[in-house]
Amino acid sequence: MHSSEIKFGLFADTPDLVKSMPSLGKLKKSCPSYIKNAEDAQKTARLFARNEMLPRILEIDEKCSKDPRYFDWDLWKKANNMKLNISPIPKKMGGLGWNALANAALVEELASVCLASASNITFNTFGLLGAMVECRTGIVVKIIQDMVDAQKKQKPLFWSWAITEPSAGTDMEDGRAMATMRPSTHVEKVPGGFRINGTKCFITNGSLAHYVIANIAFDPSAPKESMATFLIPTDTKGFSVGTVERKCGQKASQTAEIVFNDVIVAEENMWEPPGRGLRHTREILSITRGFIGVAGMGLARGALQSAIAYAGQKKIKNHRLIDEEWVQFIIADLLKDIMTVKNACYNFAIALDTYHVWRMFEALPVKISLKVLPQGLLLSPSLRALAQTKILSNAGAYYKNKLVSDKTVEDFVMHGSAIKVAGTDLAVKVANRVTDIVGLEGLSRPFGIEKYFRDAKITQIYEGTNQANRIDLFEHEISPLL
Amino acid sequence: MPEKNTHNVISDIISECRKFAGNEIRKNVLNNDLSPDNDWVRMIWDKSRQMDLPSLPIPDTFLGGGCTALECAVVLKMLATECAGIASIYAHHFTACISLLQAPVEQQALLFNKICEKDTRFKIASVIFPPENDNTGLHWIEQSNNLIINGNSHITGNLSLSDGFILFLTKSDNPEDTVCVWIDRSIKGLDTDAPLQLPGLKANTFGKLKFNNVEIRPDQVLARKQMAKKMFHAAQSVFYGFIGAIAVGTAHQAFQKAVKYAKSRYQFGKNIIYHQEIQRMLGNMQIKLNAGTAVYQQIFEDKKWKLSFTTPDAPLAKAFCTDAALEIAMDAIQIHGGYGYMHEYGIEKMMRDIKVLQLIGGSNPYLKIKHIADRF
Repeated sequence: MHSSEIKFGLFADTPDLVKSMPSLGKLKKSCPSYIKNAEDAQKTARLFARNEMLPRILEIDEKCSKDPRYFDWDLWKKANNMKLNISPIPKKMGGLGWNALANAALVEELASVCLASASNITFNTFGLLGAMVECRTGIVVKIIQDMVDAQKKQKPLFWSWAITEPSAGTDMEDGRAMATMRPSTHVEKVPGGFRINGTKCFITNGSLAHYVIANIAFDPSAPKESMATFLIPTDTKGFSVGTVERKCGQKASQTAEIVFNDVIVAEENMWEPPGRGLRHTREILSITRGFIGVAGMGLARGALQSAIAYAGQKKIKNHRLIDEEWVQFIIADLLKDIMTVKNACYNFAIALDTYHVWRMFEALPVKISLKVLPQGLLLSPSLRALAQTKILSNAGAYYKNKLVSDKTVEDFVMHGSAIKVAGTDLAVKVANRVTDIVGLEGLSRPFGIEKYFRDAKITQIYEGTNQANRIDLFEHEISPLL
Repeated sequence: MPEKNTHNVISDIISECRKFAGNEIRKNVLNNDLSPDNDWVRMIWDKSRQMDLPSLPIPDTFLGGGCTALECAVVLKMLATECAGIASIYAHHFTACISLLQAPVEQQALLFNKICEKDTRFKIASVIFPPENDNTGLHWIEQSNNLIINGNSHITGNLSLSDGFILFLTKSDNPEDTVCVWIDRSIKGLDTDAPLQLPGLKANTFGKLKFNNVEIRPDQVLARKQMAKKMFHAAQSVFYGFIGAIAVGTAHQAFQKAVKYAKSRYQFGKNIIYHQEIQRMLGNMQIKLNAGTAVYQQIFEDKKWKLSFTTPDAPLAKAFCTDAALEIAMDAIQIHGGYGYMHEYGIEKMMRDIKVLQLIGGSNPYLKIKHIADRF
């Protein structure tokens, strides 16, 4: 399927971050360890993508075509062994300590081979991101310790973020839309906790998750004012998985309907009180939208690389297909777009490290703790108990909300929206246009190019349709000026 | 008066085909997309013979439908609203029939009678063109009075369904040396390559024929040189027109579904058809539909087509129609949101089908280049 003779993309030597984005050279001089960390991540990710993912993904796609519930545990185990699914967790606590820039490199490399498998490997981040929004230390430490423990024991610990409902997609992500939405779920206060009923749909990992982070409204007539965020263990009585969808592409990533039937959730599992649910969603989106843009750009790179490999070996008459001028022009045009979007994506990642929640790992108390405390203590129940004290919990939340204000979140939603639209439109454009190069024969499954085409389209829809993302852009950049 | 009768006849045919497609194709089309089944396709074909669908382009002197190429294109467009894959099977078959119209009457009789006989099992034909940019795959020589063919043909549709193929052979060093032959599937030395595993048009099978010293007798040669070239250009023109029609038909259905969904889906405070951005998208889709319809019909109404059953603009028409259709299908998915990406809604299948249509007969950028290079 891929030719390693042409050293482009996945087959290029690493690291090539500075080569492809020369502006990083300035940072390499002033913060060498910051760039080295990302370069190491890129090297690790590229090797994994090339050696472990690439040989399997077509077979996985085919198996998932027959059975949407098929999951390749073998590939997951390999990623787990390398800690790729807990990459943001500090090294001292058992993760890889990869910041946003390093994670951008990870996402690009994995997505260049298979975005769905990349999602399966990296989606755990949603659990950590969800906890970091309020940053109550008790919750954050517990989640980190659980993730590390699961990784060591090679036991999957999956997270899911349940936003979309049958009657509300875009409506769950935008304030003005949420005010008028018609919820398909409902929560009410009961003694000792909360009772949840209803259905969420199109939930990534919904069929595999051990924990679901869900936004649910108390009052259907005032959804925005009553929207709250809950952590729901999926072994809770009344929780069930409905349909696991048959999709056009990204088949390796399971997309499920989840049903709540009088699910009782403990009080402490309300992560955001009524009225703060949207804020929780927006903060996660302020990070993940940009990363979807990175993933789209990665998919585009992979599609182009596959087309280059095909055209490089396809003979027509007495020359190669890639020697045709029209082919070269298409490749150059797409390369231009990939280069510019890539620069924007990594710029966004550096901004996340500079201004957003990754700063918490640079906070003095966190830095000192990670430096001074032994790993055994960092992963101990006693630290967890200490972190759960009200003083520490509130301190964590207070400090984090000072670091990452509402304005920062909304700024990053806006920037993330631009990156998301750019990266995902690029994915669709490139995956579509490269089929013109390879023709009908190259569109056949074994070449892997038609898979990029099928996988790309959904990126323009999830994480906020590109139309909703454009609305966010206008609302935050232009509306305040009017 | 005859025009009015003809109009009524074709209207009836289209109406019957619409009912047939709705009753027979719609109920199983998504299942077949997941697990393609040649038996189901053959069942559809057999049932369609009861309404003479396969013989539409065959002259009524041979007991065929006597329909013009444009009328056949309209029927294909209508079939495509249910399944582009099924429509593509008829398109390949219709093209083979229409190219035969240029052949000597004795040759026409031989093959048209085969197709129109009621009490025989299905008879599906297909047509194989030389590749657009490299026709060195297939070699042929004259030996005694026969032609001996070796090598691999270009990709064709109806690969596993056809009983026979009209094959156009050219010499790479002498394009004037063109031959048109009829290949029976059962001929000695003929084999099929493994079908391509394409993401769309799954009701059909596409691939290459493998020739190993296949011997073509003189009675299997339909035409040579100028006559063969004339048949080739006619066949290619009509085939591109048919592909354009199928693409437009598929896109039309995607558009209809998008309108229906937009009228009922509530987001952001109102049904989404009332949002200006959705209206703009739908308006754009309508423009492309109107233009695509005009463009594919123009192939068959072009003065050159009327004179000589060929038009040099046919590849461009196919390029325009399929590109426009793909944009329409993608926008239809976008309007449906997450639902558009799910198999059960049938929209993403349309996108995949149109993607394959885009590449049949050559990728569109190359066709544009070739058109200008050949003419100027």
